[in-house]
Amino acid sequence: MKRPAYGSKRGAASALMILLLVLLVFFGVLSLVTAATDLRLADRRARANQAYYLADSQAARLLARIGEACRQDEFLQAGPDRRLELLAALLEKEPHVRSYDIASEGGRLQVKAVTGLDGRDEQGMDLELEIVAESGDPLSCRIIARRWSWWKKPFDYQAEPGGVWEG
Amino acid sequence: MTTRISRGKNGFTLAELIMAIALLAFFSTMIVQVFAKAADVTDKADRLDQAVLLASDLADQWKYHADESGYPETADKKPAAQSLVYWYDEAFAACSEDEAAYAAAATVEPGDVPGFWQLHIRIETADRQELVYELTAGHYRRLP
Repeated sequence: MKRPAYGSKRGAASALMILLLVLLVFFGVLSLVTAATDLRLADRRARANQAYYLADSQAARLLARIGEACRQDEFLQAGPDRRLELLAALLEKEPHVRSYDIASEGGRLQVKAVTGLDGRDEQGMDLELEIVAESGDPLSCRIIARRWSWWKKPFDYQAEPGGVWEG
Repeated sequence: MTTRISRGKNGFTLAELIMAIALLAFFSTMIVQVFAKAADVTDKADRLDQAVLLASDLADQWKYHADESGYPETADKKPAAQSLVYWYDEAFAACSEDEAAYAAAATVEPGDVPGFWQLHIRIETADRQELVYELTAGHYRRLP
């Protein structure tokens, strides 16, 4: 009985070798792509971390500026309306302050301010401060942080080159 | 009577085997380099992740436990140098300088507003040849 032609194993070694090579190339490229994606993600995480600490640092500097202003004689001697004006003038001069709102209530000043990192409206800090200062006593000046949170513009998947798969 | 010996249809020929093994060895060598490169890239990503965690940890420790000089209370204080160096091994565990693979240099300096301090952290290889990560943090301390 004659065996069918497909029973021949000639070229089987080459076929096996090609199969092995294809598998090796596939897994090699897969590992390289995965590693590159890991590195890109780590890099983004590192930059986001730097941005957070920078925004926090700018907010701390703003707090220091407010603290400094509240210990000035002009502020301590002023009435509630004048204090509002002085604080508004200070916040106007600060380059990182994107928006602010100041109110006076029962001798306490409520300051709400939103800062933006590097002059852009993509991320920054959202602050709510309460300032208490007795008239004429610099040591009585207290600033209480009611809110100190990081804000970030929502990530737009559609606008991102490569979409969600690019991280 | 004629006896005929012929090569069978089944099995590999010697030439085929030699060729296949040689080509496999050649291409495998090239592909192994791709795997090695992938391992290098993964190590680099892992190192960056560890450095980010370490820098954040140092910054938070400084912010919440800083004394008047601006340094963490637990660290050895060197006010004259205005800088501290922490040493870490390959796994980013604290170690002595001799065993270190990485160095984290933390420098504290007063900001432009009274009461505002800045901390600069640089994480480098121990030989100071390569910068892995750097971070700047700020902190306000109410003046007495």
